[in-house]
Amino acid sequence: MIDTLKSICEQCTHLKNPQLDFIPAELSRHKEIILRDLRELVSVASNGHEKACAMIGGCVLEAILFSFLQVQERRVAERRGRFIFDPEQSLQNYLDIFNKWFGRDFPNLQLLDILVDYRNLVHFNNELNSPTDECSKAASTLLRVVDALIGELAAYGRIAR
Amino acid sequence: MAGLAQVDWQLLANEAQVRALLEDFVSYYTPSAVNQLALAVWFEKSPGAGERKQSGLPRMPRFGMPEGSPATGEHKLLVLITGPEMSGIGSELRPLFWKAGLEGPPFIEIHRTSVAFFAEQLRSNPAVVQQFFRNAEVIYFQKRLLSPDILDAFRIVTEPWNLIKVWCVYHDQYGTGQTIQTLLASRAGRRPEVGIVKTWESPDFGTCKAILHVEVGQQWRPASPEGIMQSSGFYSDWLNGRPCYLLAEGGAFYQVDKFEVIYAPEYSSRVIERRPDDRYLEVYLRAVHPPEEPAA
Repeated sequence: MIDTLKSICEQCTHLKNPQLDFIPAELSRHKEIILRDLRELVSVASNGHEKACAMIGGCVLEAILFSFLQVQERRVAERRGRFIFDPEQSLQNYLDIFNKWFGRDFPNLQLLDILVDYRNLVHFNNELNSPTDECSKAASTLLRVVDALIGELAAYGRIAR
Repeated sequence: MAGLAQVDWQLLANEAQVRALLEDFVSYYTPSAVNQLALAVWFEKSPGAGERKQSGLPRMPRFGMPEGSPATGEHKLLVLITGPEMSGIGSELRPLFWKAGLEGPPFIEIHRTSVAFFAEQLRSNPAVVQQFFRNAEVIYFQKRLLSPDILDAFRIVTEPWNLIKVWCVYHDQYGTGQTIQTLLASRAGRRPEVGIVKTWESPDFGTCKAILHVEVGQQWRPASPEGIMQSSGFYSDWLNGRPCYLLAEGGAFYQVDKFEVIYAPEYSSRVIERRPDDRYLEVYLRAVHPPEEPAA
């Protein structure tokens, strides 16, 4: 893959100008952390730091899903019959809930199971047992996915309000 | 088909509530420090299914309930766990509203055994496990922990027929002395990134067309054209005129010739979940043959 993290990052408009209106004002701390991490994500990606990009990309992905599902607790409960957001669950669990209960709202956004594997490269043994290009793939994929997710949720936030 | 007026909405709402409570229960259910939960099935869902039926299976002592207590649960759950083969199916009662701290009814009647024991019963004594398939609904599964016969028995479909799982090989990796064997070896045990279901193949097997799939929620579903464009490195490579390759689990190796988004309602029979707009991303592939031996 020739696309450098820098060139991918330049195409990711939502990362550099994130609209996080789907997070309400009362969750300002959520927004602060996500905005800080997005700045760091852009910084490490622009400098071609693969591992840092994969790690922060995974963190931001989890933070965005966490915040979105927390905000949408009532909507999930309406669709599922009952739902209480659990802040102690895993990234896999948040992905599953998002795909199951919001898949129809975001037909163009498929959050793949492999994203969890990419985030789990934080564990040394996982990377040792991966192909040599895994970290590079993780970094570029997470960068693109986080960008697409922010774009879709921003539009959803405008419609849902 | 029943009209909307004939649908019992209250019943549906109640069922959704119970399903959600059972899913919550399962998500916190830890069989033990070493065993993993592999499958949870809500069975005998019909009203009045609380009466325990004799299955004829050897039963292990019940745990979590005093001896002599009534052995009825209003909601029945089969739970399969990993680990050493057990010699029977144990049962216990747990309150459905455990999260709210309520100890009383309604109860969940949990039937627990190992994956290995259940698979053995399925093979050698299927009549004995029939009750678990009556009006049953799978509410949790981990496909990598279950044998194909159990997946089939509960009709857990995770991929379309004829799916080929593949890894993406970027052109900067191919041609650097790598062989099929070394490429496959470096990906052993790693999750394939995409899947393909062939829709056409040339008589000499040199070229083919296929629907691109991705794995979401343990199921291989047709890729969203926009989604793959947004998130995939190999699509971006192709868009920029750089060659990209797909390596199949069986060792077949393909170069991507082109991608095409097509409207094809007829493809709904080839996938396990049709795209909402019947638009599919089709990939045109050409078989290539890398060297068998690494370059000297």
